[in-house]
Amino acid sequence: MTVNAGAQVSDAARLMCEEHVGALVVTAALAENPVPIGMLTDRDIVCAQLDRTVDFGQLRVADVMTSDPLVLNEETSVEQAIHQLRSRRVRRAPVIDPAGKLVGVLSLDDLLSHLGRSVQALARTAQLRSHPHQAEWHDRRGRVPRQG
Amino acid sequence: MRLAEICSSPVFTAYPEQPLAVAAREMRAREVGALVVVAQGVEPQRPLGILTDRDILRGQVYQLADLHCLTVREVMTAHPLCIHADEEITEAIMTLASRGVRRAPVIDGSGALVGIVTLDDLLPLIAEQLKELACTAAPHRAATGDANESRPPVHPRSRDSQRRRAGE
Repeated sequence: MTVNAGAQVSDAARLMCEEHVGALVVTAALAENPVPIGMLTDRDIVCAQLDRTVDFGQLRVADVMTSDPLVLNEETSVEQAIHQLRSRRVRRAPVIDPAGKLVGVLSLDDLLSHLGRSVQALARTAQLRSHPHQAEWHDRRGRVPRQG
Repeated sequence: MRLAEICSSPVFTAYPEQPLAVAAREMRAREVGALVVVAQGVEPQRPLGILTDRDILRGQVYQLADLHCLTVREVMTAHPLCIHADEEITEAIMTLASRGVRRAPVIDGSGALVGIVTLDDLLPLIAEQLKELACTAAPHRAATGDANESRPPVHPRSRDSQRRRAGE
């Protein structure tokens, strides 16, 4: 989910509410090949209003975004991604392909889901090895997918 | 482990009639993502609502109002999910998941506010339990602490594990 740096903050806020997201990637005005130049969170918008006397309706995304964001490459490993997010103390980062094109956002929640799936697969495998008949019963009930 | 042992306390609070900007400043000053809304001057405190950055933004967008013109009551999420302090950690995680929320006020048996629990508080506990499990399952790895460090000679059981990984 992206927003242009020149867009109004009120439009960005509406987009965030409609799409139920807490952050947007801010891109430069190169429509065909968007480049991430910032991140905009609900916290950024709230804090910006506390610091300024300008009307909410007059604020631009570029005025309140967090510039110079951590940007991850899509070939970055999970371990490296966690390390980089931790060292920059951020919960999410835009992801680009080798050509520099924005391809998505990686958040701590995504990484937690990824690790959770690995743990779940480990548990399922252990259960299949320890209690194959029980696992088969679960499988028939559709609770545990058959492995290979 | 019970929730009472790990929830954040004391809790930062707001009251319904408070100007939203004051509550927002409190959130920023305390570096928290949420305040529990309680009635002003009433003891014991009971959660009436919860206020997050998301609530503030949503309130502004749908009421087309400036932050400085709103009160906490107008944007808070009323009747929040509350979790009992005696709940076990896994129970609490299931309760949060069932409502799809990241945080919840923690209350005692009388309904009084005793803390707040967030997914970020719970994750390290689960991670610690997984680490303990891993150390029990593969103690030689736990002893070295780093997969790249030199390891003790492969235990017969470990060789068996390796064969299973490679072959089966």
